Amino acid sequence: MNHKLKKPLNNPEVIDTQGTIYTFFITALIGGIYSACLAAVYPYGAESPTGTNSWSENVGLRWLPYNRTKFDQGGFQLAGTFISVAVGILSSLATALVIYLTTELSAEQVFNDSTFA
Amino acid sequence: MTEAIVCAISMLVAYMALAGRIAGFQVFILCFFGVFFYGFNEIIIWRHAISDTGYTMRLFLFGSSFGIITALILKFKDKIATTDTLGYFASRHTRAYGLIGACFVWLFLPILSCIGNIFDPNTSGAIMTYLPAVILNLWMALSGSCTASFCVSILLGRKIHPHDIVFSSFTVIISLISGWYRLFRNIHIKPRSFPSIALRSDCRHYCHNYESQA
Repeated sequence: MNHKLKKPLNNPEVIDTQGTIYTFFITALIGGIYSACLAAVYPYGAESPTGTNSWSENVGLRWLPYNRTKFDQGGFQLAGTFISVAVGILSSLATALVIYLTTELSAEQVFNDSTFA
Repeated sequence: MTEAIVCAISMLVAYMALAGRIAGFQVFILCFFGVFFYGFNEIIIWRHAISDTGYTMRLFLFGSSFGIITALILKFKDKIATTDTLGYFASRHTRAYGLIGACFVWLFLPILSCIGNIFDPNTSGAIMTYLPAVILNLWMALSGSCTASFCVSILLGRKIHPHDIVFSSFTVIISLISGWYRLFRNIHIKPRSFPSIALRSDCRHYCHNYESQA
């Protein structure tokens, strides 16, 4: 998969995003989905005497906030995962627009440290 | 203080996708907007009671998507240096530095999964009361991931690539700390191994820059 995606990602304009994609984005996305699955399958507090949670003080033995079911919490976990991606895209649009308008770097200048000295 | 550290790491993750193509002032702009939207994302996560104890959504997912889309927008029309150096591979020094970085990952990143309960604020003096089992579980998971990386590297490439260990460590650690540390503590999840991912082009990029500067 890495070799199949390497060339399209790196040519011709985009570089150095592989580390961010594979190391952080894909794994965090897997983790977000994983946390949603765990929320859906994890037993309620009353069913698990060893289950502890900071929310349990407010709702008795229930470990879920706002009287949610565990499937609701799983849905919120999944929603939070994609909300984070959406906020990241939104912030990148704002940031990249400002940087795009204030940067005049050519391809020859990009990797020249003396440019940034 | 913890949130400030995590926000700084998030900006570092975003900058990793833009390293080498933006200058100091652009980094300032990146962090200026990034910190604001990080706070916005954190408020959404907190308000909806979404569990993100390992900071995966706020740190890695937000930071990586932030950096990737910014890098895609800031693409250059001309060909860049790495386009002509696709056959270049990382040097021995780069791999050695990568292994040192992997040791740092092994020691540091598991802390993210339990950063909230190392110090118990309910006790006097807020001293450390116990070592969360999640750290041991994560180290076991890292061991399993590196073992699988060795095996896959030998089976596919007929030799061991040190950077396989580096990036498999990153992969497994970020995937696992995303879960709820309490769940890990209670369930005692078994070590999982993820496919080894070698990112040679990144090393190649830095090596090329180093040699061009020399």
